[in-house]
Amino acid sequence: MPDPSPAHNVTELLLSWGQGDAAALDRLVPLLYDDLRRVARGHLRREGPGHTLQPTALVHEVFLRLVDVDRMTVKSRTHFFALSARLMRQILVDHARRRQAGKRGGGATVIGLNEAAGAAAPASSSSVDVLALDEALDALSSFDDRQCRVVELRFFAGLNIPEAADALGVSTATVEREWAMAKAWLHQRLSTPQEPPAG
Amino acid sequence: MTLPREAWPRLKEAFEGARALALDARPAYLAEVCNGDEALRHEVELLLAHHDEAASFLETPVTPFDDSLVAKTLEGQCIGPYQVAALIGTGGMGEVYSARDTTLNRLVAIKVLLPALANDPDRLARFSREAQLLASLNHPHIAQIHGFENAGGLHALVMELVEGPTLADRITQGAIPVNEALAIAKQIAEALAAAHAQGIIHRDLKPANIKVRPDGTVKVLDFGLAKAIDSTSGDRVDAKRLPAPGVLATGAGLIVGTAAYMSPEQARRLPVDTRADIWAFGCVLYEMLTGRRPFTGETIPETLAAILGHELDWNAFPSSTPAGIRELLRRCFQRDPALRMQNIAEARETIEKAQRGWNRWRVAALCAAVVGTLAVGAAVWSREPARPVDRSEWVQLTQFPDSVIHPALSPDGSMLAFIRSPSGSGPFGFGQVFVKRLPNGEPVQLTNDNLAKLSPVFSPDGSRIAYGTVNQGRFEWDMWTVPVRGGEPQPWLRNASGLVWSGPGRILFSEMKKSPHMGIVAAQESRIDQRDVYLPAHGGGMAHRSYLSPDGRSVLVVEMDHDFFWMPCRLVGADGSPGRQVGPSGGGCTFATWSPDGRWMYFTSNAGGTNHIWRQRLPDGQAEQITSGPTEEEGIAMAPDGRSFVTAVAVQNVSAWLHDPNGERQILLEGNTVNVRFTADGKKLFYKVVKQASSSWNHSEIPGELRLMDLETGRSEVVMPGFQTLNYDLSIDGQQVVMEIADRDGTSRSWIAMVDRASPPRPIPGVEGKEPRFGRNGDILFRRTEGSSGFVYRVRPDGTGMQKVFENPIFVFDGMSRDGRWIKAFTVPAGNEGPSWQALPLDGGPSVPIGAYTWHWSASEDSVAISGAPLPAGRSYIVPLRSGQFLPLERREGARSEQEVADLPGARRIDADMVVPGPSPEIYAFYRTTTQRNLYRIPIR
Repeated sequence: MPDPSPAHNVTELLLSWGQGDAAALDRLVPLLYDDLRRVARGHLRREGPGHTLQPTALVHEVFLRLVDVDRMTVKSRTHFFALSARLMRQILVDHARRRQAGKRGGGATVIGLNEAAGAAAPASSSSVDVLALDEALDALSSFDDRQCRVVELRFFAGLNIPEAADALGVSTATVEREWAMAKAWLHQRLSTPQEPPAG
Repeated sequence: MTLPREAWPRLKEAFEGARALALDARPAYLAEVCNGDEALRHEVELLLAHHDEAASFLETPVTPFDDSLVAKTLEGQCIGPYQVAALIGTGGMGEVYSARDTTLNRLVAIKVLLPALANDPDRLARFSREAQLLASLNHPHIAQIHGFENAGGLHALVMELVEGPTLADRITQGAIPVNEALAIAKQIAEALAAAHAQGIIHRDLKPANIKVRPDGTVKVLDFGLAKAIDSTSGDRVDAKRLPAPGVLATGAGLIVGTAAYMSPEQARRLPVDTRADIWAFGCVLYEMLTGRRPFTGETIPETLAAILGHELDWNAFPSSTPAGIRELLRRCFQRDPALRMQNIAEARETIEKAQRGWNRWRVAALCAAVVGTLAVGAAVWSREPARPVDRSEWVQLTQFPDSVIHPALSPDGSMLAFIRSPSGSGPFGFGQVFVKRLPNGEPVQLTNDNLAKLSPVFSPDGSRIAYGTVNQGRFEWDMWTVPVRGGEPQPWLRNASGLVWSGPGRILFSEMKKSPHMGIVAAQESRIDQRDVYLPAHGGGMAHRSYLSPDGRSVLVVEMDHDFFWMPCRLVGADGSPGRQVGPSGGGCTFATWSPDGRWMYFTSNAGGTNHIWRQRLPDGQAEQITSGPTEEEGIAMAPDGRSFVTAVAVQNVSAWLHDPNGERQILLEGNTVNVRFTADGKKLFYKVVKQASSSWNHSEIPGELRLMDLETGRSEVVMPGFQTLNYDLSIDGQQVVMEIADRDGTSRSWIAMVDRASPPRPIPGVEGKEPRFGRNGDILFRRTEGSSGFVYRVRPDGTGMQKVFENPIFVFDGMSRDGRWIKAFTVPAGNEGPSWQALPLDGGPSVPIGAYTWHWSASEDSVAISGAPLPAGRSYIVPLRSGQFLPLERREGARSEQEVADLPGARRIDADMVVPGPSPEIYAFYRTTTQRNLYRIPIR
């Protein structure tokens, strides 16, 4: 293929993946991953520190950049958002791990989440330890994969309930139910001390 | 998750089913759906508890990068003697890292310059020279520049490392409270003043260049660097480069954020001087107070247009912004530098002046927190004042060390009469009548006798002051007069009080019809032509004061019911029609008045828990609160022009004292100390420090810092730094403390902390409620507010097993007995008409009234301190208790006389209000309360 545009490439890969081509996913992931990081960085450079970038804007921007919208099917669009959400999670976890490894004295990386929780003073409830959340999501997905997907879409990709329902191909009522329980479950899990992960 | 995976679908079903139900209906549903599977039920309850807690959890999507996304590989490398630790920010000039200076072994910040700058030899050389000059700038509020480093092809500026967020970070979370903003602004002004004195202009002052250390110290960063990195040499800016100076054009384009702080002369690319910093200072102060930038636009040209032409939004300030500060900002925002404030030192002086005003009031952020006070057994009005009056605009008119009450203004507004009441307070005074010429005349005492006095009023010609007297023994109310210029007071009318003139030679006053039934009558001064205006329907009611409307048609009445409780004020027809209650519902209305145009009624009411000024527009407006906060305001004398009123403002101070065999000592020398409790072993003492005491009896309504004092060493430590505790309880073993802590949104949640701090404090999930107490078996009991009352619930410390303990509404949940058998609460007992203090047995059975005293049980419950009626003020008794005995008095209605309390076996008299018994009879704590009341003039908007 002579000099394929990224849009063409990603679109093809999404369509192939949707048709069951597992290898397409392997090629899709690094493309999306890199682009998400690049767009995030670009925003940071343009807006300067302190600017809050909405993940939903980021994912949509990447979508418009990388995907030939006209050729998208409902299913491939769904795949795109689900995948982006998961990659956003991955990007943040990777960074958190790298920072943690690089820091003498360790300590979890806490990514500030403005009003992630409504509770008062303590840092533990007004910010979320991304690594702990990641680990809790892994545990959750072993019980209920769909709840895990909903959290990825809502929290890491910033989709609202109807968008998440759209991306998952389920009703908004289902997303609402899954979201409520997933939040309660994760909140419980994250506010209960866990054994430190091995390694 | 302790359940097996197979249980997940059932867990999910049970959770979703229960979630859809009301709290009350859940236990029955869970019992049915879990069908004896206790593990499942526990898991569902945990989830439900966390579900309530997690309402906003994860709702804000992650911000998908932090600085780590652009982190370069410099971390861990060395630049000269500096070992780079971590990227801490990126700015226009380059990236900033924290680093260790290996020669001086200190932490520093280093700015690694962007290649665009570093690769231009001319600019680099000039930058280096500038940096050396700037290094001479040494001031506590300016981040020190240590030097300039060239190594390994990198050029870096070495600076003092300042911990803490930038002001920009702070502002992204919203406006900064006024007093804090002023403290920050003052330090910025000091930094600018020092730099300006050395001829150094900042040129790029903005919140992102200002750091606020955790201890509140402000450091201004990047002084003069804007000039240093600018490609031009002088102050005149290269016209081709926008926006300059002070802004670096990077490859990514101009930084909009900086343009927003540019002065008009910078925006026009004219020469700048120190006055540009004054403009930027105004921008920063404005943004701190309002949470937004004064001049903004989507693009740089739009932003510049705003700077050059847009009118500022002067309504964006919080109402508590002092007038002096608004004026200061007006002077900073003069577009013509010649008209602008010329010297930043003036800004500092203005701020200091405003701060003194704040300190006098010590209201700070407390006001809002205290507005929601408790009104027992009555409708609760706790909304924010509709048109709050800015406290900095209150003008103090008297300076007495004790109490000055019942203000009255002469018809021309030039004279102020009042009662100085060294011991008394409130609606009745016990003191002397004074008069003072406004604004600065010396107060002159007009009376000198032992009669209780109330409600002075000027005669229409302003020559006399009439006032009421009360002979309390015989319950006789008479009017006296005294000349304003001094002279012997003369008795005037017998059986008359609360008198006002209603026209030439005509008066309106209260008259006792048949004791204690007091009504309002109108008459001529000679008391002929007398007729009734209003008589309370109930035979025991007393209408104490009346205020005729300016049009003469209506009368505002202040009245008591037959139980001597103040009622809401009443608006009746001057012709005798019975009228209706007006002002805030609930609570007592003790004073009232009219606006001169007759459109507004003003009230003193404690409908919100404590006395404040309210008003209501005629004919059908809603009552609105116009003063609020920790002080109380009583009495209203309206100025003749209707633009202000005079009221008595009460400021209360509470100190806690420890009595032990060595004597007495104050637990904390400064600040108000409340909610004192000994630990069960008697070795330590908990107490709460509040910024401002309220005269509300319930200090648990005021957030404060909980501290723990070791009685042996006298040392205190904060139990949970950063937490503002409302209410707390100690576990019986003394190991734990449970606290009520209000969220930012005012919701009360319960937190548990270990006294030895072995583990961090944690919230009890799902518990939104007040007054948490330790119960039996480690359970927590708390009061869940529902409407104006609430119910006591029980919950396990992990948030599960929540259930209602009593069906009776509980207004105040005071605590539990040590054996866990009783709770002490202010409640409505079955079959009783009004709420009262009761001991309620947890295992059912009849409740026992415990009287209207204040009870303080010792931690080991082997004694109880009693104060309050029938004991006189300032007197308490500590009464030992037998094992298992909870109340020393068996009789249901409690003690009828002090003697009866004094005669209790082992009773020990203590001459103090509110005694807290300690581990032995010799050791106890008590409070000393002082109240100051002075008159203030409050403007009306």
